Amino acid sequence: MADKQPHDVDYLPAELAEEEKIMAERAAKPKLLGADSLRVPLKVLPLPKPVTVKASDSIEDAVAKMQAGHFGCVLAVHADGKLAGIFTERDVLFKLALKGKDWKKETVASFMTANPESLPFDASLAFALNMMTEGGYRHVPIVDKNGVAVAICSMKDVVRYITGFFEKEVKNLPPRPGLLHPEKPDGG
Amino acid sequence: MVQNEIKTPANDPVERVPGESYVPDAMWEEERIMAERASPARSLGAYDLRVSVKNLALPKPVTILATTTIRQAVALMQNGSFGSVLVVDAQGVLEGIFTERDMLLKISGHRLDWDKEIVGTFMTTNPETLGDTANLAFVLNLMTSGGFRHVPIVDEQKRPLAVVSIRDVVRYICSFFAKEVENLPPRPEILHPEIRESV
Repeated sequence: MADKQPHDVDYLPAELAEEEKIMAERAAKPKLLGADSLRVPLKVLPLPKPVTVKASDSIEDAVAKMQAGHFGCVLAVHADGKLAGIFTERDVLFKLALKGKDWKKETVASFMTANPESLPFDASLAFALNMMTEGGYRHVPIVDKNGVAVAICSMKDVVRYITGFFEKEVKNLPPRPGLLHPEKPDGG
Repeated sequence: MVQNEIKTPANDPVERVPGESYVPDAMWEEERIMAERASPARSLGAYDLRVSVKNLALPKPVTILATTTIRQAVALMQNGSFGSVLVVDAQGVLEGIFTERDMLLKISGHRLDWDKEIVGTFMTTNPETLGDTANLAFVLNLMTSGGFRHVPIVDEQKRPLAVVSIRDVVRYICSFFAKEVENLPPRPEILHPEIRESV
């Protein structure tokens, strides 16, 4: 088969075309979430850019920023952009509420979770899930090779990604479970 | 007042027959992990999303009255490390949900008398709920389309039986991939040495 040109773009055997068609179908409508799906790198998920505050910002400023954008979580960064900590609504409830602190004077650095566990974009989804289930974190910061925060992966992002594999089962549901079982009408 | 009718491993333990020999829990755990490693990788199918919420081992809901003061509610949440509580009326019927998000957006930084203001003013009223006949797909639907992190499960009188949190959902999904998720080395560099070079 010396005359075959494997790298010639014009040359596409029928089996290969068929193979590609099957692969495209699988990619379009996966019915199963296999272990391979969890080995995808985090960069394939549409993760939002992080909302950042300076670690030296006052609690008042940070909370105002969170309220304005409805952010439950902000990343605290050093002056050079490197990740310093994570500050969430949980910290507001558990460390600040009722504690009689001066929100104008206290800084984010005193109440954030310093040096949180983070992952590179190349790490797999399984690692993010591992940190969420084992560490109990709801958010995993994504950092570049310089330690600069570039994205944030939340439980919501993960659940949305996984739910995407089951469009038909999840998205196309009737509004109430009862409507799936007409043998048990609600009496209405 | 509010009865939890959902059986969990914690409130419905399996009884051991006296005198019967048993393997210590640690050995069971070891055997389980070995069996998981040996078995082929599992996958999560549409069928698995039809699991009833009754089978998800959900925690009992924490309930308070709408007339509870903000100070009392926050103290309760701090003491119990609860990120959310359900708000019920005197009959135990669900009226709302009060979460750390309400705390952040509606209370933090506002000048309020925490001994006079009540939870009823700041809670999210009439949250979306599901009956205990619902399955996980409905929970996922509410969470992804509505953006909710908590879905209360209620009985026919709308009295809370349990709460499904997004954490419970992630835990359930991960239970299908114990080999891939739970038995990972602490850092990705160990599995992917090429990452380490770039760090």
